[in-house]
Amino acid sequence: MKSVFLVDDSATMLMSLKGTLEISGYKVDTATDGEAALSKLRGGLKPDLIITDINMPRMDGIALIREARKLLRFTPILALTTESQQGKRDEAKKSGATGWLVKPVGGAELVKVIKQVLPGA
Amino acid sequence: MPDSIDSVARLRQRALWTRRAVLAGLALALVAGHALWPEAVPLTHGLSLALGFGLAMWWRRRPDRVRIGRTHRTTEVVVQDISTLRQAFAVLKQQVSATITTSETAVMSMMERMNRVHYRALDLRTRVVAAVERSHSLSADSLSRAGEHGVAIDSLAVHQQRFEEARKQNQDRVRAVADQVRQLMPLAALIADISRQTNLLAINASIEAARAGREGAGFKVVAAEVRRLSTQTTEAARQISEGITAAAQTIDEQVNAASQIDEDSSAHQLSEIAQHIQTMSATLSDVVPYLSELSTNMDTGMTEVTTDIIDTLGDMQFQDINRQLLEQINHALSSLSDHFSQLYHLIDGEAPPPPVMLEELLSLWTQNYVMHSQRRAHAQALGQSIPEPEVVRVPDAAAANSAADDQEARGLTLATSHGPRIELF
Repeated sequence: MKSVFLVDDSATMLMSLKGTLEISGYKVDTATDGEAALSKLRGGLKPDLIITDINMPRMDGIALIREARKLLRFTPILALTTESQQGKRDEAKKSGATGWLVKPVGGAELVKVIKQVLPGA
Repeated sequence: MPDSIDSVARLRQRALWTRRAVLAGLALALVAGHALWPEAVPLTHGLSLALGFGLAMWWRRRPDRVRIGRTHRTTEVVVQDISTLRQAFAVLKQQVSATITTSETAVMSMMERMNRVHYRALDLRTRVVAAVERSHSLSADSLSRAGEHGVAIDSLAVHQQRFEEARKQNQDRVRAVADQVRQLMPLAALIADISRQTNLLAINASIEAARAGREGAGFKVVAAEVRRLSTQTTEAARQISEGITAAAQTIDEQVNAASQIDEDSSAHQLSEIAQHIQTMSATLSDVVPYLSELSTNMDTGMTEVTTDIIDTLGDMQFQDINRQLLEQINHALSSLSDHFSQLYHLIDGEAPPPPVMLEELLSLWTQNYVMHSQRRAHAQALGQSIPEPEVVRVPDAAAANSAADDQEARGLTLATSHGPRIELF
């Protein structure tokens, strides 16, 4: 079973995505901001995929992507955000993000994207 | 503008004091002129002049006082309202926060319910699948047992058939015995006839013995014995005849009773049982495909329910978007509240003017916008134009974007001002 690490400061988003992914057969871990997420990754968590929000308190998604990329070189990282600025998108790409998804993303299309970045999932 | 009102009031006050100073100076000059040149400058002129100007200024001052009074009242009202404006902003912020909390709680509750529905449906499916598998297994087992029972019944039927045949043969043999017994009846009649003839002979012998006299005495005894023997023989013949009749009757009764039993023979019952088993097997054969169909339908239904649940969970993301929109409104209300608080202190003369004017504050709000819808709403409210988004299809994400078309149709898609909704780098 593939594992997905969800990072979002919105409890609603976490619940929505967690429910969708668990129903679709993924193991899910969560964190509510970049700092907490990084702490879990440094603690040994090795997910097959990270999906992170961009605008979050304490540590934003771009910084998390940058730091996570140092720990997990080949793990795909998707940004899932309401942010629509091209600058932020470019910054995420430069920091090591695998893809950029603008909220809301339907469950079926999210699973399709995951299957694209996680072959065999 | 409150600061303009204040400035005008200050200017008017300054002009009033200037005029007073000029009048006082003029009056002093007239008094001094009278002292130096009493003839040229009579005191009454100076006093009259000073009095006239004083009266004129008094009349001039009256409307100014009224105007200044009005200005002060206006300022007080504005100051009071600006002071209350902070509370109004605080109320609005609380309302927005309450809206965020309420919608978040409701959406979380809905999602929890959806998750529960999913897991209950999953559990139900597991139970139904298990029941179908169990039923399938039971049906197969019953079919197998029915087959075995059928074979056993067939074997029993064959065995019973043989038994019936043997029983009929025995019956025939018994009937033959009965017939043979009946064939003994003429022998009894013959014995009876012999006995009658013997009796006649004995009677004749007695007659001849009587005729012989003394010499026939012995013969008379023999004749008597023969008669007595004849009588006994007749009795024996009668008893034999009755015995043969009774034996034949008993045998007939037994044979008839056996024939009656034959009609309800166990072979017939076994045949009925075999037929029942065959019917049961046919029914079970119908049940098996029905259970398979039920299982397939259950799987299809579950897949549809799961898809609906996943889509609904995705739709609930609107709450996060609304939250961000409302938080931005809250932020704007906070900045407005601060701005008017600074204006309030400026009117009171306790603080400098706000660092930015309201117009600049409005444009600062755009820095916190993250969504295209926020920028578009802002521009529309100010009568400005904003370029509409151009959704670009990226080959790698083509499949995902085509799936997103469904959402666009439902009006949930947030178009982006730069780039596609889904982009894989």
